[in-house]
Amino acid sequence: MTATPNNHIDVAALVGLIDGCLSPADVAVARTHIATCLPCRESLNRLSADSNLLTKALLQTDFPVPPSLCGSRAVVVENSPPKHSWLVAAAIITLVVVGVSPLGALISDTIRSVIGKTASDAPAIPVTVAPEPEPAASEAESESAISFRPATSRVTVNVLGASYVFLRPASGIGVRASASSDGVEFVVAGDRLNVIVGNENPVDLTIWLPLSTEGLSLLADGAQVADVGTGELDEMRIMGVLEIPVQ
Amino acid sequence: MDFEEAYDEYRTELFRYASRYSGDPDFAEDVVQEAYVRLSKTTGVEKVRQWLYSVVTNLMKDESRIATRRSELTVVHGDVLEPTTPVAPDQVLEKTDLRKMVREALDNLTERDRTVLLMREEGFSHKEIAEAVGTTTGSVGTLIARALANLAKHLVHVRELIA
Repeated sequence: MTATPNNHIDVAALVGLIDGCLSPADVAVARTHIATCLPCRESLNRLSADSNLLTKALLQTDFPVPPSLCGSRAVVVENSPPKHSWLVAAAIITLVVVGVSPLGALISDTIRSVIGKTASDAPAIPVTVAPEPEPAASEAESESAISFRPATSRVTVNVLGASYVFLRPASGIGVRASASSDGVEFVVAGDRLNVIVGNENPVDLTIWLPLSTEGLSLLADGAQVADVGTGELDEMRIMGVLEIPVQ
Repeated sequence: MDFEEAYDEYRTELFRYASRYSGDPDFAEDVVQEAYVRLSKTTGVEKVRQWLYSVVTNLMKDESRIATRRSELTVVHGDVLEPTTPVAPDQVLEKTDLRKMVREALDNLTERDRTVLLMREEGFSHKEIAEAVGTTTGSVGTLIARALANLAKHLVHVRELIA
């Protein structure tokens, strides 16, 4: 650690102190000096304030993660939609050739070797994000999604901070839920959303939570399996999605 | 770390980094997907996270340079035609005033300063940041302090909004 000609701690070391990049010995020296040096203390406070300002500003203006990056691994490798029309045409032609020609197997093998991984090669994914239905852009910015695949026949989601849970409301305010199977039943009771999976397992569930949500807990067959507090909810909103295993 | 692990682990933070860097979520999405395509075709990558960030950063810088050249060309030839596609991400997306102010502040930074600050936000160490921008570990703290001070000047109103 270096000091300025006035024996103050240089700015790089102050940043290192904030970022935890100094050795324990340097931290001790810096802290001792800062405790008795007003200019260094002010510099440290200013750096810290500027740093916090940037972090807050970025967090409050982050874009929601697009659906293409929320899907399972296989989805991105196999199903990522080409954005150029000639790529679409090439893909369609390839599919047709693969489907009708003995050459198809060879082409398929070639594609596999180029891509390296395919859906069938990928290991089973215990928790996936169901891509449908996709929330509208404005909804995506004001909601968080939890996705899980329950192993039990009955799951309850307690939504904290909501007097009542409204399921699939026309107003767009409330909890939206979807399942990969039509046989799943959603029942609301006060601030609870009960999901009756029945014999439909395995099924993927996705629940979008409004910004007013302060926390949530998940119960599987009556036993609590996950508890999401404010901090994690904030992270959900920053990240766009939180995957909670309930197996 | 294999491809699937790298995808699961880093896709979200890479998108966050790329969208913060560029201000364009669509472009960020493309860049992240391109980075993973390149990873799937590359073997022997040891520091996967740093490698991905490096690819994403370079792709964004390249596009930025292309955009700058297009802009220069338009000026030189005095084009008055309306662009068929909007150039600035701000014109494409409906953004809040806060987002615009943050964007403008970040755009005022050099590419290197932006890379340094945004990689720091993603939790990279000074050593890793130094490797990414081609400088010494010891000088990263100075770069960060200078960039933060520069940024803070442009975030005066943001400070009031988010205080």
